[in-house]
Amino acid sequence: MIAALRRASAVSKFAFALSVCAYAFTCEDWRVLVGLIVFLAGLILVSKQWDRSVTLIFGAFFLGLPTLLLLFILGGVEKAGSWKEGTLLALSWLALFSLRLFVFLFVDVLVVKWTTFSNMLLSLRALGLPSKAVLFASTMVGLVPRVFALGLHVVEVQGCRGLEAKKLARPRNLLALFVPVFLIQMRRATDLALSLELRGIAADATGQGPALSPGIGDVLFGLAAVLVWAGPLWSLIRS
Amino acid sequence: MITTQNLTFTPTGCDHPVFQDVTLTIRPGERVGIVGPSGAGKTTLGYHLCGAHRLALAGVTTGELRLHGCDGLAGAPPGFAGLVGQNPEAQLFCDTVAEEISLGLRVRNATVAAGDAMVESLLARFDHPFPREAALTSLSLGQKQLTAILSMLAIIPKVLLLDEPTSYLDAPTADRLFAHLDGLCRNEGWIVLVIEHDVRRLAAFADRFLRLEHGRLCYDGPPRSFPSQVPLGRPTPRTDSTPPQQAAPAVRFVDIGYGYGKQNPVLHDINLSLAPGEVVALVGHNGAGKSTLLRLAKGLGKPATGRVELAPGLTAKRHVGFMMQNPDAQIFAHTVEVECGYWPTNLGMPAEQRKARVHTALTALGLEEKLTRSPFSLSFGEKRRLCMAAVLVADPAILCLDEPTTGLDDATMARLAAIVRMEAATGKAVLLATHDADFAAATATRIVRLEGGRIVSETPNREPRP
Repeated sequence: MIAALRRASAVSKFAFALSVCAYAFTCEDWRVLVGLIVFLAGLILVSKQWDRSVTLIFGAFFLGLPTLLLLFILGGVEKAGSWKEGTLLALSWLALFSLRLFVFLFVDVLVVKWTTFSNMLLSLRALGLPSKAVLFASTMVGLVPRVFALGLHVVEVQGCRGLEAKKLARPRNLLALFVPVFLIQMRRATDLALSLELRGIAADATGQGPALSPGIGDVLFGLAAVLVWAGPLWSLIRS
Repeated sequence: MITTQNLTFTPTGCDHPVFQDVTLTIRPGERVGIVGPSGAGKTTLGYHLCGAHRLALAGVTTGELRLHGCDGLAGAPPGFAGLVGQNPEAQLFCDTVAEEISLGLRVRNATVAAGDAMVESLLARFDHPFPREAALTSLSLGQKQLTAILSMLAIIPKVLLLDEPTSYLDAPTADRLFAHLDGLCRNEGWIVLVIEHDVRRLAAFADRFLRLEHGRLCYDGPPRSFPSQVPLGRPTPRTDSTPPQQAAPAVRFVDIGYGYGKQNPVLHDINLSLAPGEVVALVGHNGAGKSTLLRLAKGLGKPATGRVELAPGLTAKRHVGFMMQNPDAQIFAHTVEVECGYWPTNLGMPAEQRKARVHTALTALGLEEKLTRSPFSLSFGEKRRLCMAAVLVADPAILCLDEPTTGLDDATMARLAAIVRMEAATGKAVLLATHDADFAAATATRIVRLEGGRIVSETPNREPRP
């Protein structure tokens, strides 16, 4: 099942992500949102894609929570008229907003982790999009995790030569990290472009790639994208 | 067919050409070895001969270049050439081996089945060295290099340029690769251009050598007449006796087990010790766990079982020097001198002492004239030497070298071997991972073979005196 889902085209995965994100920001029921979070987190864990980069993303999210809370409290107090009521109101807003953001992050992480470069490239080419846009979008999918992994490697390499975390307080010492990462990425871009051109994946290429042949994963993603809206639609029809 | 007439290339911003007045003709089916010292212009010429210069290089090309009957100065026609550069990691961008190999076919509208069949056939030629669904991030550098080569073989080009294709490959895989390329040249008429420092291995494959020196083609002929004209200068086996091993070990690996995640065990039950003055060469197939063992010695990772013990008073952070495979991951400074002195600077070494050490280390590696050069302008081989100097400069008690000979010409390799022996003679324990049997024979006091993450043999390297 997981393998079939991962093999699905990038188009199906993005349609699913888009649908789930849109639903999360219209849903008012925290239980449904929690259910979605558990489901998405489960998929990431089962597919063994929960790595340091995922932990870092959620770590950054939690670090931003106090600032969000402050903003919500200010809004809540303004609306409620007293600090106590305003704080309670802010907490309820923050809880709902955080759950929605969680869904958003989880579904994005899932799609990025499950969509490979070739998957994205072949899917977008099949749609007949301009080659430059296809290449740009395809390379962007893997850029953040790749730069993150490269950054960790460079930290390790310079750590072997005595660079310590406390020395990073001096901006000058950051050069030892940023320069190799930046230059490797630049060089990688050149090598990547050369390798792609040689394999016939040129930015100025014309014509459409092979047509998509939907598999089980595509069907499941399509169903899920529609099914998340079943509840609201049913309520709408009944009312 | 590739023909050139007075081909000259001058990079943007340089006064002197990288190579000049190259005139030659390469016919279908030829197996051409491009050799020469580091920085001679081999890679640049290779890019031109396969028509990739317009994509990869910035500069002006003059003269005449014809590729397959077309004007090659404007680049090669699509599908003409395949190329694998010195850094194989940089040209891999898919998630799995199968995806990477089949991508070139898939974008040319080949079916999934055709792509799968190609992956299967190519991996079968190398006895399935890794699973087709293996994640690229889980492969060793040698396995990545093989994957990069296979991904270019899959597109069936007319010309294939391989830049140091065996630098990270173990000997049996390299032999298989050359045997396969030989068949493609003889039977399919491919032109294969190989830039390689291992001239002996190359001589067994190539039917023609091109030697570049200072940007000029100084030899163009069969390999059989090549060695007599140009001394190879490969490192010679060490002739001194092995050091006494009664001394307390500088580093000990005790019952080491290690894996990248639970599904990917790399090392099992490793027991190994190194005395000061010893040089231990780790050899074995790609993915055998050699680099991982070096990483553990430096403290980059915690063993799942067992422990790494250093001699009393030594710490992994200060007393273990580790030269990694890719120099680009560490070079950042504006001059060679500053780059080399980075570790001593971090150690708080006084400027005078640091400067003296930097000069000594760079002189030992033949980089004394490049003190003020930007390290980014150095050739790959020179960068490797700089990285070596940047480790030696801190005078670590234990030296870990991961594939130190990659990208080095024979003369530099012989020089490096002498330096390793000299460092060992001063009491350093040296642990090196290498695929180069000559280098291992020239430097090691003991050769340890790893297979499947286990030590399968441990033999003293005692070569008779000549």
